[in-house]
Amino acid sequence: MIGRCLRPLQCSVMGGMLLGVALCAASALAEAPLNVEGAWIPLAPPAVKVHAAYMTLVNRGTTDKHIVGASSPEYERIELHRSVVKDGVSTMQPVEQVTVPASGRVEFAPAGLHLMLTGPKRPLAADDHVQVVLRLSDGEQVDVSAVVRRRDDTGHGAHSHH
Amino acid sequence: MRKRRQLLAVNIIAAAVACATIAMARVSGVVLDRPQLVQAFTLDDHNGKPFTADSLKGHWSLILAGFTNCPDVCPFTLANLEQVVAELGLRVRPDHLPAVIFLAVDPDRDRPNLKDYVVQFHPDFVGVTGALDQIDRMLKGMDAIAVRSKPDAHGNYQVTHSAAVAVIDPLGRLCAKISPPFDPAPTAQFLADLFHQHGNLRAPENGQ
Repeated sequence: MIGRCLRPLQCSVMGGMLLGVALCAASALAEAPLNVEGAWIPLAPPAVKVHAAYMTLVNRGTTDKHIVGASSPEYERIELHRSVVKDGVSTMQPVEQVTVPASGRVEFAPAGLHLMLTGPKRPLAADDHVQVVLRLSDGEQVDVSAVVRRRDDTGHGAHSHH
Repeated sequence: MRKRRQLLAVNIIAAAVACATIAMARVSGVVLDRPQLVQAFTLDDHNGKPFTADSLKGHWSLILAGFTNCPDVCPFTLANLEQVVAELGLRVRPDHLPAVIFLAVDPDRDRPNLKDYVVQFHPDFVGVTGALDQIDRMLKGMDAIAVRSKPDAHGNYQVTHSAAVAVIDPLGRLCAKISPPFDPAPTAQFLADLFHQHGNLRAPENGQ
């Protein structure tokens, strides 16, 4: 799986995760980046106008990171959502803020936390890449490139490595 | 907001339940001691053909209520049910494999999408929708509910719906409900055991 240190660092880590982390840490010091791993959007039929995006957020820094919003040039609107089952009824709840704790990780995964993407501006095909920007409470922005793929492409769910 | 129906589950649980002494810890749900016949309804399948309570007879069915603009849970569940059925194929005869039915409860938005939406998970999956009152009748038969929220400023609205999958026996009776998550292997094993316990329910006149 590809780990990615995102703008402004732009260091892409392929396999040599430790080396990448070391480089990022060295160049960023206090402002350790929020890494995004395995971002994907399940392929949906063209007529479906609401999609989801899943990913793993990894905070290798020493301060908590708070995601407060997201946007994409490819969609009219993105909201942070959580699917919950309460009293046997399935519902989606807007989430104001998602905190990725220092030295911690948060999974956006099916049937839980997800980005709800509304109003795709063009039909998406498998292997398309969708640019998504996560907004953090400190004003930082994190660029994410999410790949569109069938749900059964690599099994279900968005579990990544340990 | 639309009238919210009292969950029939309460009655069923009080009346019946051998509450899921389900072998596998990762499957939760209820098995009804006395299966309940799904009452009549008239809907259409995703090819526009009539789909009624009689369409549930002669085979096992797994029914999920949802809507096509549900981005997360409905597709997740349908994808899991596809895997459940694949796992079941290793455990039961092909003619015992259940039909998987997606009851689309948001018909205005669902109708144009329904076939594309459903068959992406499996070509044999069946999408069903129709008039709201008929949808509600089928929901009642599944012991399920759906509530459509008021539209927001963008005209978007949410639909909340029962998370459980209804298990209908070949006599057209609700005999179990399974709750998420639908882990493929244990869910398939649970269903295989359930089908086995119910024996060969082939002919409607065998029903009790």
